[in-house]
Amino acid sequence: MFRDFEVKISMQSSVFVQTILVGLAGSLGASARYLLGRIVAKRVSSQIPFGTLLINVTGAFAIGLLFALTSQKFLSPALQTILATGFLGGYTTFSTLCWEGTQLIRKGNTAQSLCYFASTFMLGLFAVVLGIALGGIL
Amino acid sequence: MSRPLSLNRQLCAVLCGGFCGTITRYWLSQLIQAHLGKGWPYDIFLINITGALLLAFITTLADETFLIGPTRRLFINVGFLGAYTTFSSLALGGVQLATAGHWLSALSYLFISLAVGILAVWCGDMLGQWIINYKKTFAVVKSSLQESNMLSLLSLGKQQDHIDVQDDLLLDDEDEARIPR
Repeated sequence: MFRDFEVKISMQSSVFVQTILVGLAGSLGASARYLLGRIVAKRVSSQIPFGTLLINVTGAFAIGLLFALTSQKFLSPALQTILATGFLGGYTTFSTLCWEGTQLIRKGNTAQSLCYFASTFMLGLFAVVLGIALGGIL
Repeated sequence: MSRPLSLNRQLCAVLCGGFCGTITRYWLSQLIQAHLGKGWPYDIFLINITGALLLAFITTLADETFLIGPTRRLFINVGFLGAYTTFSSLALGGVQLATAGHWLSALSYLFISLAVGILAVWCGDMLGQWIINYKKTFAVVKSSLQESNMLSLLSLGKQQDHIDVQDDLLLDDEDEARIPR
């Protein structure tokens, strides 16, 4: 009985530690997104938000790579959760993508908005497939 | 009026927001998967949609500097909602459905996410505009009441019952200077 109790405690604490690690990885991902977005916005002056596009596509590539490496047992599932759900989840964003695309429509640049959405989804899906393929070769 | 925020303060806001947003997504995703199953990625879909709605709502309020100052904007929009919603899991979910042979659900997942996301942004924006208009109407009614001296009878006229948005723009030394001696 006492032993059961100990096991329960250690399981709960590992869930807690896992959650905190996911949160910390996410905060690092969010600040990486913020800094990268600022740098790209400074360098490139364009209607289409290339910063968010770059962030989402690179994040999609990385999650494909992580997925392939985990299915080949290079990474443990716990580490995959921290890196994929935590860091990459914090790094990539869907809300900003929708907001920026809708702002483009509102300004009358419907063609650019369509181009933005289409390129994000096409390049994002392609990046995931590429990441999985590359992870399979490694 | 407003000096730009220091980079440390900006990063601090984004870090804290990102931490909270990621944990909320992680926890909510497990909860939704437990209730609705893992067949179709309902968790990421619902999280992304609510995040897009909230982002539009908060940004509309922030543009009018109503309740939301620059630090809060960074914390909520860039940090919390940016980390709460995710594109990488969406793309991976679509590819996983497609490689499992469920082409139709993969396509529907991606298209419905995008379409409902845009709709959610539009709804959030409308909601924000509605609240700002409500506030403006309320301010007009209040000032006309004050002119007719009705509120002073109720001793509500001098009461400060609004949130000071300027407070958010100030840095620490300015905050100290504003403390009444």
